[in-house]
Amino acid sequence: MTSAASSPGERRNVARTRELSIGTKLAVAIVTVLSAVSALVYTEVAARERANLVDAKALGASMIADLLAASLEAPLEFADGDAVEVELAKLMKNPEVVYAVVQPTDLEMTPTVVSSGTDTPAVEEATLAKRSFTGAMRGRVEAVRPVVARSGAPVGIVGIAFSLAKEDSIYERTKARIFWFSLAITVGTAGMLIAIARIQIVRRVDRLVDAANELQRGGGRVRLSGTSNDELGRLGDAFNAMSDAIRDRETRLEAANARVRELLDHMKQAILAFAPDGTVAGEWSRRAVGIFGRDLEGKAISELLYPRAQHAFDAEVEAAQQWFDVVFQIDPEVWDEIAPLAPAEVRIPGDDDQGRILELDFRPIVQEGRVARVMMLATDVTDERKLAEAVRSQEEAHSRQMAAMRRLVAGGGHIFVSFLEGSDQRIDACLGILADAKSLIRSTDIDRLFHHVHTIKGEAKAFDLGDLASIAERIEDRLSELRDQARGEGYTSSGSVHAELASDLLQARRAIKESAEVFVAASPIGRAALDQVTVSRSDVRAMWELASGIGGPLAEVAARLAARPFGEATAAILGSVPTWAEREGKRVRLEVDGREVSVPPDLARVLPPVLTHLARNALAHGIEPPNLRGAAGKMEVGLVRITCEPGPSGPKIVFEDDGVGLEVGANPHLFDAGYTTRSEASEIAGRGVGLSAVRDELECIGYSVTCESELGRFTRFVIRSRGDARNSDHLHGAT
Amino acid sequence: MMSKGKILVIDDSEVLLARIKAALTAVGYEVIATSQTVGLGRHLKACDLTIVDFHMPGFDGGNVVASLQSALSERESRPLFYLYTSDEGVGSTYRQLGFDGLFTRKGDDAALVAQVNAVFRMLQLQRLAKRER
Repeated sequence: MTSAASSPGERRNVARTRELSIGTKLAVAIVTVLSAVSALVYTEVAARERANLVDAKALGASMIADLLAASLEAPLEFADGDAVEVELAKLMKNPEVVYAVVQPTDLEMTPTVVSSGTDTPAVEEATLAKRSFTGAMRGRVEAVRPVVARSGAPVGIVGIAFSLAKEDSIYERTKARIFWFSLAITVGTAGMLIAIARIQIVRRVDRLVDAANELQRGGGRVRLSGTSNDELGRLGDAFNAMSDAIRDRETRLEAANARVRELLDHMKQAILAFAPDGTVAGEWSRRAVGIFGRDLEGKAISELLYPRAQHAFDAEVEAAQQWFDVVFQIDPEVWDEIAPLAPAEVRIPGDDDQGRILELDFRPIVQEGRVARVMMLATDVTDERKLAEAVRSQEEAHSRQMAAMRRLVAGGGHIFVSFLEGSDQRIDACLGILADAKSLIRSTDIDRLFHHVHTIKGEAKAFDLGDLASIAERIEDRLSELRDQARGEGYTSSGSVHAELASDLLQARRAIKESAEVFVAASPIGRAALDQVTVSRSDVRAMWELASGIGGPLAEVAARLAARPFGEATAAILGSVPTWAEREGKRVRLEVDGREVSVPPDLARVLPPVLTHLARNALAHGIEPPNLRGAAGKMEVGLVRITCEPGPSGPKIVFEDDGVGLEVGANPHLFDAGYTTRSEASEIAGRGVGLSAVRDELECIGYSVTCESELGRFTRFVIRSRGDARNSDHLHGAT
Repeated sequence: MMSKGKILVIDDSEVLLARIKAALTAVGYEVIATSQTVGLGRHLKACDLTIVDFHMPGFDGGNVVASLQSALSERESRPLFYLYTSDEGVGSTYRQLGFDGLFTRKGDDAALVAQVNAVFRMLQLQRLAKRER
């Protein structure tokens, strides 16, 4: 996933560039406050400085006024105007005195006034009336004192005005110094504060902002270093903790995503999700890449599933597209209704002409009560279908072959046996020709090979042996090439074709053997079918009867000729037992062993009806219905097993079923006519005829039948010659 | 087994009709297959889908569908009419001919079953979508 060009935070920061930074705000505040304070201090200090200067002047003025009043005591008491003027003249020598007035109490004396200039304002009467006063007014210090004689009688008032010009001058100089000093203090302090604020606050905040922006951009583990033990330091610690927590969560999220991805990638389905606009959105599994290709983001799901929709209208594509549209409009609650209407499978282009078959399954991804996306799971079942198709084809081919073989067996298996023998001999002949030819092969040999192979091919086709016919055709193609090469010279080098021909011939031999095995499997007499020859039954019987009278080896051979393979006797019930079982509502498997065992003609004659009776008996009385077998812990499919093995005086045949069994001792009349253990007769048994017929048939020809059984487990009928039965009883008795 | 839907098939080939009927019946549809083009009104009313061959002696599928549609009154429910042909030129004009859709790959019974199933899925989807609105 690519990162954003700029984070939202940074975009906010860019939008705020016109705002003042905190550093500027702090600087402005510091400067403003310091300036205000400095102005206040300057004003106050300046005012105080002037007041001090004025006070000092006033003190001096007061002292001078007191001295003058004291010095004018005698002149005024004695009304000495000249003395007053002298004193005043002395006073006026002080350059700072700008006005002086002496106002005697004696009305006969005139007030004496001296001033430094004609426009110098006089001390006002109101001020003089105060009699004792010192104060600054009208830009000068005025001091008024009463002059009191020694007798305590007031003799006059003296008033002096002192100029403040000097103080003003001093004040101006001092004020300037104070101003510059204040300014320097202000600037210095502001500078220091701004610098401290910049270092301690602004830069640290900037670092925090940078770190936050980097964290927002996903820049790995972001930490602030050098944090201190103050508020910003604690903020930095909190940021580091937050960054660690975010990083930890991201790591766990990445790990969880990786596990989910690993799970998806190891699932055999192609997994992806598509959005309401029908395009792939989000993650997809590795298998999806393998099936649909890379860069799936934004691809239309209908294009992925139906890339070659060629026709003007394709109902399957239309139906799928409708489903892709409707599925996002429905309430997720009804998903189970709409899911079956989704396309169940598609065929997409693959490595070969057949394409790839995908079985599809869809799941809703619900967010906020709506289907936000749909997840598709596509399973590639191409190989399974091919395998199933191959198995089905093989089974069909096998069934056809088996049916063909059964027809052969029914209509003349000896012909097929002849074919098998003849083909095998032809293969031997061909291999002999090749062995003699070595590296050079003559046209005449090629022709001989051709004849043999052509015959095999024709007969294989007649017997519906497709594999053998194909091999023969391949051999013919090779021989055709050799024949063309040998034309003219009369011979040609066989080269590599020699080995290929030999290999094909051996393959043909294997096909013949396989056909023989199929034939044996289809034949009720098993492998004995391969030893069949066609003779007249009446001739064989006649020969046997003649030879029986003579005895000796001839009689034995005649008996063997007249004997029949046991499998023939079971042919009648092989196909019928399953049908009878179905009618009784049961399921049965029939197994036959010893199909090749020779059975004397008399026994061979009666065995088919005997076995039929026993089979129907087993189905009616022995084998239980599937539900009862299951309840008894048995397989639902019952087993009927017939075995035949040679005995001293004749074959021993055992007919056994794994049904309910019976108490033989409690049923002594089992083989009696009319005896049955069923209350009602069914289609196949229950009339009390079967077992009596069995016994009678067998006894006529010198055989006996006995019954062994165990309740709940099996019932077993044993057929053997009476001689063997007696010997067996004797042996049992001896034990 | 409950029928998945009722289909009327009109084609001049009896062999094809038999195969189509067998293929669609095997998967659960109720099928009326006919080579006659008259007297189909009573079948149409109960049908969900009508499949019509194009190339028929004396007339084409377009005439047939026009005639069938005119046999239905305004108030009666109308089945879908689908053209069944491998002729790509004709197939591309299915709308102009008056058909609702097209079935291709004629002769491939499995392909026809898949396409018919798709149409009935669409019908069910439309009913479901209408209900959900």
